[in-house]
Amino acid sequence: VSSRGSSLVNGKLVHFRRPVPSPAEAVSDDALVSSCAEGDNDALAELFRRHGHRVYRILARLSGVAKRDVDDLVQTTFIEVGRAASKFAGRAAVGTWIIGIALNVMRHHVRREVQRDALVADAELLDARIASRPDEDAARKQLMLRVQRALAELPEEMQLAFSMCELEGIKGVEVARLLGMREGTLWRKLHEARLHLRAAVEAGEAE
Amino acid sequence: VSWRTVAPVSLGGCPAGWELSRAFLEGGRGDLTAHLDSCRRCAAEWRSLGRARAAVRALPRPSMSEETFDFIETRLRLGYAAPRAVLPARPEALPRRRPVAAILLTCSIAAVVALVWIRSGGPGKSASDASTSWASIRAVGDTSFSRATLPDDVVHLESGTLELDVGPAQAGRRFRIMTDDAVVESAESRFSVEAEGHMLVAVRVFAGYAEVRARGGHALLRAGDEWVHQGPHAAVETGDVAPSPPSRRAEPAPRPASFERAWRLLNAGNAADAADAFRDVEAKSRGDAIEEDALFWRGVSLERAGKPADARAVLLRFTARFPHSERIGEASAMLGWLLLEAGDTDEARRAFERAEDDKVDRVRASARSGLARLGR
Repeated sequence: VSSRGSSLVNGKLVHFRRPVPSPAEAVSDDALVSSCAEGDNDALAELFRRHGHRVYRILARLSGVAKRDVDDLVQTTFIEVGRAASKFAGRAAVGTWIIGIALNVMRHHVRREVQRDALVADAELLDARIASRPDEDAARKQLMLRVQRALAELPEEMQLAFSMCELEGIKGVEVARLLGMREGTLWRKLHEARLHLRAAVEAGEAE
Repeated sequence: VSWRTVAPVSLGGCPAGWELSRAFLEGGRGDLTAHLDSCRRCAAEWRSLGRARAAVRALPRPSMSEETFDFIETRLRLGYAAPRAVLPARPEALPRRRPVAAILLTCSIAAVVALVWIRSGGPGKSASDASTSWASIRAVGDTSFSRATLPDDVVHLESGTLELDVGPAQAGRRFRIMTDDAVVESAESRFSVEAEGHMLVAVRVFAGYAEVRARGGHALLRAGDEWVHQGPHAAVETGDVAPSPPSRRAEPAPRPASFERAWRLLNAGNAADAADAFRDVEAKSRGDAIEEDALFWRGVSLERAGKPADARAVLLRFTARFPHSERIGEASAMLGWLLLEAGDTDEARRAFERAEDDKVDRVRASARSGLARLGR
């Protein structure tokens, strides 16, 4: 992780000595949570360093969350991680527990405000990003657009299940626990999601 | 319905769709693999699901910007949002109904503050050393600074170099070095800060880390990093009144990332987008200091974006909603000029009069200049 703050106006950052590697590298996630519970901010920052990107990706993929809010949601998630650290019982992996907190933060946020205009703008922006990719041919771009829209059409719970299982490689049993459903139900929902996406893929192939 | 759809896989039946989905992700089904070798229908289904999966994986992968990552990491590391549950109880909490003890304690605190003030040489004088139990400061050569230790430890550096050794963050307390244009914040670190003419010149971190915030930007410096000021300290230009950046304020709460994004847009010259971004921040932060800041800077952004009517409306709302704001003078003077341009001389006069006695020189000067233009 770079420590450069590229936005620092009128300033230049230079190294006058090689940075010392973080001693936290060798510490387990569980030990970091314990340290957090005792008020160790460095431990909390280290948990963010390890799990922040995944939390970001899961939240950013949800069509019900405006992209401009994702940064704030990630920050809030880790503040909550610090607050809840003393209650961590170790029943789930720390990464899964953090995602659970992120989902609670996200649900609270979505309940509080529905930003339809922002969501439409996000979808349009995503379409434009795909359409402008120079490394894909026209047919492939069309396919990606269809899949993107099909994903956004899924209910939030299915988007989450798909994102966590398929794209983040989290085990089904953990995702089922996070989403408060039986594992069998999760697999059935995932299959429904996959059929929906397959229809989007095959719609283009039939044209 | 054929027997294959109802018989278990072990007896040659076809797996349910969800079983295929699960096998896709978690594998470990030798019986399924064998079945796929012998059943063309299921093999076709498997390939088809595989294509859908590949299509999804080809979508752009969202990623957090390095800037956002640094921003959040810094705040967590500095404990801006330290969980209240883990803060130790106040060790000297006084029982109620003991006003004498309270007065004595207040006097003691005042004495300590005064002592530190005297030791540091007061404002505008050189000092060689000033320490508390958690932070020691050594002034190099002819350095001018002042220090207040309660409630937070804040050092105002005017010129020269300070070498600092700050202990672990204390419950609810922060350690900051402030110049007119920047704030340096740290805990459990050894670093030096250099300033000239009340402006930050350089920060070097020898151990730990320090955060530098200047004009809305920020940088997290680790051991071995040095931040050096480059180029002249350009003034913020906003018509006749140059608003001071948010970092000069007392910072009652950390600003959300969305605020920092808006602030960066404004500093990058993208005033129209900045105005939209500040509007979003404002909408999400009802009734707090963030809303106050966001509303003010939205007005500034609109003015810079060449939207005087919108800027007037926003600044009018600001002055009505936050009449006791630290920025009321700045907002009023800016509003005065906008009203003057629009030909509303009566309202412009009232706005300038509100700013006439502001504590900031340039705001007073702007207001008086406006009143002079109106013939006073």
